[in-house]
Amino acid sequence: MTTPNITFYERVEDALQDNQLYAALDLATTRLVTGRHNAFGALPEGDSLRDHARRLRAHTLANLDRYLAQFADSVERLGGHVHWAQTVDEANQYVADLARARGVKHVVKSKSMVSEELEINHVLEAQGVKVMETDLGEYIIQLANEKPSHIIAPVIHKSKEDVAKLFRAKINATDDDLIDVPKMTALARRTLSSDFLQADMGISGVNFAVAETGSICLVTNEGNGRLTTTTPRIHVALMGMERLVPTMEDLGVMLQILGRSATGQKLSVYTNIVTGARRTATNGAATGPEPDGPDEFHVVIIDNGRSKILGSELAEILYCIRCGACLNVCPVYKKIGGHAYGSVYPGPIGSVVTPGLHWIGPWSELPHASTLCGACQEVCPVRIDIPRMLLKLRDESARAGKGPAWLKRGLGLYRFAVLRPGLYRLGGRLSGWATRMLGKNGWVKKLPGPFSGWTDQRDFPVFAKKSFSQRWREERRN
Amino acid sequence: METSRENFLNKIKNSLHHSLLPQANAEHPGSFQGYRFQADAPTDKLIEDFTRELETLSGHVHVLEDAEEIAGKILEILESHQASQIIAWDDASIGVTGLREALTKTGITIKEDELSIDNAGRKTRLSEMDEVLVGLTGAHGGLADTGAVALISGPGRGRLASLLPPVHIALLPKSRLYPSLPAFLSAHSTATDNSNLVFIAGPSRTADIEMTLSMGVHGPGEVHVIIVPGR
Repeated sequence: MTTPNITFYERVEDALQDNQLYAALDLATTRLVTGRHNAFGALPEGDSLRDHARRLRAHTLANLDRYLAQFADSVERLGGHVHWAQTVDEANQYVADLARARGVKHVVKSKSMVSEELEINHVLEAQGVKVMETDLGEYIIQLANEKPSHIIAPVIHKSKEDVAKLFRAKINATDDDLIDVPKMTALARRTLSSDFLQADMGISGVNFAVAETGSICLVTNEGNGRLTTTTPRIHVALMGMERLVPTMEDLGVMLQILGRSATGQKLSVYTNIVTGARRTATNGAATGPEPDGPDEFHVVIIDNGRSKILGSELAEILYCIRCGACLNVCPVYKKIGGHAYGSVYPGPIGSVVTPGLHWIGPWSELPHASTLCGACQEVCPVRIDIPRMLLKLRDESARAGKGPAWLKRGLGLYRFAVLRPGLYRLGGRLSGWATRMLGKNGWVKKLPGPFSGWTDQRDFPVFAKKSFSQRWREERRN
Repeated sequence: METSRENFLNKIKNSLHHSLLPQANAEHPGSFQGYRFQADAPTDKLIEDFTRELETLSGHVHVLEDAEEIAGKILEILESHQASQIIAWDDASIGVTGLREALTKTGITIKEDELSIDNAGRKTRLSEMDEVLVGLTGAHGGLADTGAVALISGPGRGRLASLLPPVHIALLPKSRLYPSLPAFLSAHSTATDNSNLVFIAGPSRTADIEMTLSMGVHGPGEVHVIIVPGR
């Protein structure tokens, strides 16, 4: 994966200056948080269902080799093809070779986060294949040549005016096409409809794969997921290796919580469960071929660093079902949006997944992009302890010598002082005096000299007039 | 030499020796016991709930009794869209005998959903079907808690009838109403024996642009469920 060319703090600075981004994030996250809250409020068994879902995810991962083998056997029994890709390159190579071998000129894609890891569109385009994103948000992202900024709402950062401008420049939209959002949506539908009819290959992601049946489940609201897996003659499903559930019954459990957590919907509009290519089947007394659906089904099971995460203290992050709920409640995400994180997966989940999939090196700031307030863990449908793992990664980044020098020096100084009560009290009094001198309305915007590193990313509160230890002594006396 | 599958799975096996997986059990946790839906809810209550939920999603529900009424309602919908062609499941799969004949008698053409193996033929047929405004299907289940219908593909039961045209009409027999998706799945252990099982909860929608709702993005923007007698 490519790493961004400006630093995390520069990206954050840019985002914080962007008033339109702030307004868009505020609107969207508030709406999504309320939706989720109401949906779970109306489901009395919600809490115990989440506990059960967590146990299911834990059990599945603890037996992942066995369930993956079972899934692959189920797919192959129905004539499907399974490819095992340890790296991004292996996955891309497989799909590119398949496209070449079958004479594929035109591909439609439905939304898939793992395909963002692969950046597969570029690989296919390089061999002359036309690739179209068909989820409305992803389509806009593709036209703008950007990256998604939210797991389930990829253009959360764009205004309708941005989109109108883009449609005018890229697909010759007229004034009539751009009157309102439904009109703009209708234009996108018309434009993409010929792609669905002409495409030779459909590439989808996988929300859940079912080991016992070899099925994959795709959850969408627009219907592009169904079209992608129905009209083209070849269907390729890209699947992160942890996306498994053992049985159809377990899938039912996951579906009860996914839509509610993601968008506040009891169930997304289309819950599409695909079990292999079309085949000869029975219908009452009659037996015959299914009239539509693809003739070939391929699934690419992708590791790309997941087995490294699995063998570590971060393994719990693989319980994630990619609902995006942790983004919407995160006080940091709500202020900076997805692009500032600079990786495929933004927000609290991304701050663990990204350094986990790759290595801490270029991503050492991400685990610090959190207040450790725990809101992410509270809303997580499978109760992932994200704060624990953020701390673990902060520790790792410090051990790798990634912390800023001022912090290391400052902490050394602090340590020296707290171990010497007299010095600590003196230091406290001096700092209290200094912050009151420098502060305005209770906050210090800029600390001087060696302490300035602390105030580069945050304000510093003015000390109280009396320290805790002073008050403690006084209270005891009275 | 190890195959790519063995390699892949061995790597996982090795990782699992060092995994920290809170609450992981070697044993499958079993079925979820806490569902609160009423397994034996009376049909009237299921119809009431289903109707309320689907209407909340801007879908339409019609509860009709005899074959004539049903054909009349379908024609009414076709007329409101000035549609003269439909894509339809076969009679046995829709569950109303003679329905296709009744419709063709009034001048409606039924476009057969039959994608050929040959690539050019497949695309030609798709383009022809894309002109059709209304799709007509049966349904294998209705979910009272969400207003969704369950459709299982098969011979005579294509996926495109409920997907390609902007209007989808599904005929749902009363006896096939279930309280919820988990309840439907537990009653249909063979639901994945064919290539596609889909749950459709109302019209296609998106809120990708500024959280503003738009209907009918790629799938049908108008959904009618006609609840009919019988099995």
